[in-house]
Amino acid sequence: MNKNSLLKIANLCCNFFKMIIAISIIAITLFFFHFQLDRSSYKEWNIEKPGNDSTVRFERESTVGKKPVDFDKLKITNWKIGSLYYSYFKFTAILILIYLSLNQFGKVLKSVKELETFHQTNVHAFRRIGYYCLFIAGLSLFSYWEFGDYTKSSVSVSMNVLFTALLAFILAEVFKEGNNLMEENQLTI
Amino acid sequence: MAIIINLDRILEERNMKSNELAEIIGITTANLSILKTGKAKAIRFSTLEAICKALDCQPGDILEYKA
Repeated sequence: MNKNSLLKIANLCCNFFKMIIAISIIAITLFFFHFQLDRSSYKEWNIEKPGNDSTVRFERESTVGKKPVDFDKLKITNWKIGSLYYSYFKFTAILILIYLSLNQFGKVLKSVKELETFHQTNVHAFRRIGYYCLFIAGLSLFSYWEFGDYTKSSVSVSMNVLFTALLAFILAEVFKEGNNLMEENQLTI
Repeated sequence: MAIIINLDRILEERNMKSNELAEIIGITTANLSILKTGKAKAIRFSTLEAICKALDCQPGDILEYKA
C-alpha cells in the first residue's frame, strides 16, 4: 500500500467520524428537546451503569431516604432537569471539540497530500488539537447524574485524552523543527 | 545580521546587473535578491565560487563581518 492510499484511507476515516459526530450532535439535541416535551415516551428506557475506562475516578453516590437504590429499576424519565441540562451541554461541547480536532487533523492530512507537510499551519493545527484535548479533559472532569432520589457525582481524569493532548503538543514541536529545517533549506542559496 | 553582503557594491563596480549575474552563475533572480537583501540563511560554496568567478573577486569582497 503506497503513501497516497494510506492518506486517502485516513482522510476518509476522518470525514466519516466527522459525519458521525455531526449526526450525534443533532441526535442528542433532538433527544434533549423531545425528552423535555414528552417524557412519557421514554418510560421503557432503563439506565445502565457506565463501565470503567482508563480514568482516575473519585465518586460519591447518595440516595434520599433509607431504601437502597436498585440501579436496574432506575428510569430515564426520572432524570432531573438540572442534571439533564448539565449533561446535554457537557456532551455537546465535548462532541464539538472532537469535531474541531478532527477538522484540524484533516487539514494536516490535506497538507501532507499537497507536499506541504512541514508548514507553519500544521504546527498551529497540532497545538489547537492539544488545546481542544485539554478542554475535553476539563469538561470530562466533573460528572453529575440525578435520577429521582438517586444522585451520583464524580470527579474523573481521563488519562487517554491527556496523553492525546501531550502527543499533539509533542507533534507540534516536531513539526516546528521540521518547518525550521525546511525554511533553512529554502533560504540556502 | 552580523554578516553583510556587499554584492550591490561589487556589481556597481563591475557595471553588471543582478539579472546578468544570476544568469551567469545559474540561479534565479529571486534567489539572488534573497542573498543581496541578507535574508539568506546559508550560501553554498559552489554559489560563492561561481559569484567570485563571475565578478573576479574574493569571498571577502562580498562577505563582511560587522560586530
